[in-house]
Amino acid sequence: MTLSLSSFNTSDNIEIRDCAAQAWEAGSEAENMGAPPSDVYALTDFVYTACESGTDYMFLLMNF
Amino acid sequence: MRFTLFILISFQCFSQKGIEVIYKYESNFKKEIPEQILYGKFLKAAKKILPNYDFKLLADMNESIYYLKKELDNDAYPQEFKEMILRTANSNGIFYSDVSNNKFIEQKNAFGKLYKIISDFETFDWKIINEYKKISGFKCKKATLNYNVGNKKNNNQNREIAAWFTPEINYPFGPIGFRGLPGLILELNVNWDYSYKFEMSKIEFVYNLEINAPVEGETIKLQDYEKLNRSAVFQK
Repeated sequence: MTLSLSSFNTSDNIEIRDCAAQAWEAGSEAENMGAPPSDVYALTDFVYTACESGTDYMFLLMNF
Repeated sequence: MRFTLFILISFQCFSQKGIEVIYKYESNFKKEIPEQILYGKFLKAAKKILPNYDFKLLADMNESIYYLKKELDNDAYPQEFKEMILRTANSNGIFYSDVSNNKFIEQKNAFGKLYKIISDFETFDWKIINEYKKISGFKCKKATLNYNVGNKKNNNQNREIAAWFTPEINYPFGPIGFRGLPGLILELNVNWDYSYKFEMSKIEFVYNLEINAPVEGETIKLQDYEKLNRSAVFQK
């Protein structure tokens, strides 16, 4: 499922709503740090896709 | 000095040909990265991973193309992970310049699709400063530029660009699409809280140069691309 703003409100699936919220927050933090709009989108999409699919990307980032 | 002489002789003899330049990334973060913020983790990853990458500029007097050349042999990161890391240094695309047609194309994945973002070659309002330094034997002059990576409404997206270009190599190109100076950019500093730079590590004369404009992707004008943002795209 593709993330949309309606994911926050209209989805009956609490996991989808949680993933959407988590993704949106990660993108907003990037925006506050000064990331370009396309990166804000990409990070939001990255987190949502990983969350929805159950992919643990954090282990990749632990080494840095 | 010997390297410089070789290059100068090469350019005098074969000035109708082109150059191949390799740039390397180096971070110079001025602010501590917040540990708990995911984007910060990608910035930290970029600091460690991107110096291992080569970024290549191919150029003749009229055209250039700039892109990521190669990655680590043992690079086993997932594509979307690498893409995020490259994004932190605006290096996830291909940059093509065509001086005679005043055309510039940036091809990249953005907002869920592959775009060819079209703009003029002559875009940047550089301020050339009387500061000099030598890079690999080339006398370089400084130029600065205020640049916003967004829609100019978010000051956190401001960048101060400092380019060191050499009039000794009369190619108006440089890394990640910065261009239009009277000489090749050998060092490009992108200054903000999480500054980085690209510096020339190698330059060679190339006999058989082939530069092709990117073909794939949806064409969009820069001014229309700049209107795109996360909310607008996700609402569709």
